[in-house]
Amino acid sequence: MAFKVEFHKGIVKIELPDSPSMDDFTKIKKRLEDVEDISVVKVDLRKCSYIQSKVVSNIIALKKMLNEKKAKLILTNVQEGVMQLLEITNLINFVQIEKDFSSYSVDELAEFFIDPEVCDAVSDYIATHYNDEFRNKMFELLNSDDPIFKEYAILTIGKAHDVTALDTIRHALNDEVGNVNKAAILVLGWMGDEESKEEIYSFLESDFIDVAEAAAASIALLSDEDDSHKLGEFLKSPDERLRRIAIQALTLINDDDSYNFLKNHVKNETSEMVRATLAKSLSFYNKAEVADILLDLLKDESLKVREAAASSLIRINAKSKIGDILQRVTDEDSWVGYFAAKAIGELCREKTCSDYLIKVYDRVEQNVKLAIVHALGNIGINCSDFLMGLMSDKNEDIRKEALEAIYKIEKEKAVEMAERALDEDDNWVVRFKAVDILANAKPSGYQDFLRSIYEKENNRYVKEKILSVLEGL
Amino acid sequence: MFDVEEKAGKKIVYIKGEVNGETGLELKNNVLEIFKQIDTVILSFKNVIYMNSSGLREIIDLLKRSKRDKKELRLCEMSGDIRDMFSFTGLDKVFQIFDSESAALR
Repeated sequence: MAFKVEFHKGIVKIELPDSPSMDDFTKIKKRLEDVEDISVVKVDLRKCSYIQSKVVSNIIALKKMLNEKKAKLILTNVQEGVMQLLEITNLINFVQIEKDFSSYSVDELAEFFIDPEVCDAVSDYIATHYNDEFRNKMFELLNSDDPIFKEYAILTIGKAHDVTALDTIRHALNDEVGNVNKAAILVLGWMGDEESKEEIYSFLESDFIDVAEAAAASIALLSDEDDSHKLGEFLKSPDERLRRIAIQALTLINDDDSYNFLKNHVKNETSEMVRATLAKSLSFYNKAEVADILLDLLKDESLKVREAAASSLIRINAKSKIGDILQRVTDEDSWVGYFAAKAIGELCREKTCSDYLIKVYDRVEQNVKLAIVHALGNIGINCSDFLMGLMSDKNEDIRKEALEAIYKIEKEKAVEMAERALDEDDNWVVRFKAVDILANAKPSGYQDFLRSIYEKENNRYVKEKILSVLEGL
Repeated sequence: MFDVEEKAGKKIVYIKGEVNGETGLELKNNVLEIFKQIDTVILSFKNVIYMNSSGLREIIDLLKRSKRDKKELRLCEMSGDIRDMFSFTGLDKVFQIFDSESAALR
């Protein structure tokens, strides 16, 4: 069987037969030679389960010819056996390879739904090119006995927003397979099918977490003024997972009722994981008092909750609370100070912040000191003298963090300190960071310097790091 | 609420602050107007901090209408938190979402 050629707007598509011959390539090159304005040539190999090495040489020759015409060669639908040959011959690094679903029939495309590597891409392709032929196939699959076909047919119809399938998708809520239920729940949410909302509520308590989460998400998408109250009741559930899912749905609804439920629940929630979720969720509400609630949560008994509160303060860009956060850097509980300093490093770019952090540095514990040094680097106000002083601290983590902070503030100084550390610091973690800084800053003559250091370095990790930098060059 | 710029033959709509029912509707109507002049619109979420289900519903409706009119809607530059909202609702499978503006412009 011969090859087939299609031309369309500067793109040439060539479908090779199962055993392409030298003669095929001679003819292909001849046809392409006479064509002007080619931008891309796609060679479809979907019929070739194997190709001979002479075909590989012909592909290389074709690429060379197309380079001269300033056109790109793309190999499409490459099968596993051919892919291995391209890897062995190293051609894989020189030719672009991609899937081209337009080469397949509707039935062939549907079969890809059972291939986990391409099922989502095929579904996207069908949804983008949705027509009567695809629609008929998807409707056929909705009645399939295979739950994977059913699941992907539902998702594809949902992506194409084909509301004519609404009844069948509603019916899929009764399917015995969780993934089919999940697909139906999501698609009913996307389609805005309010009639299904009550039925979807029953899936919140599903044994399958994916199904329960999909239900929460779709309820939020279909919500009206009553749903915050209904979901708020689930916050009383003894099931921690259900409380967390309810919080996610309430957060997405984001009305005043849902806010009050979440705000009040923070005080009563016993699980640290759920409180951490609440700390994050509250940051999605555009309300002035959220920053104060988060400030309180910085003192929560759980480190997870404090971390979530600090991240949320950063997320809402709580610059108006910088003064309050700064005060917490010296809290008697050092982990409060740690997360406060972390938050300051992300929120503040003012000298007042770096001055304050330097002022309290000697009064705080080691973990807070580390967070302060990190924050000083992020704030970016020049305090190199203070940071350089820390390069003689007895704690190696402080020295390493100080080096990184100097690099963020004053690259030249950091290079000087890194070179000195490689010569003098007795801890490999600091020397490792120093190599990293030289590799990023690339000062003149740094390769020679690293080579000389390599000779006398005795730590294998630092030696490997130096080698990787030099080899990278 | 948003700025619009033209780059590489596409319009980029830079959304700011909050996407809720009110701002989402305004965004949808404006983008539908832009679609009268151009085939591809990119919504940049770089400066979006807050979004709720009502806002999301308007963006779903915008996608539905753009598909009906054979127009292309792309989303880009979402923070992790906003992207999580799309993942939670499964809408990350429905929209074309790009990490960067440059990737969305390609």
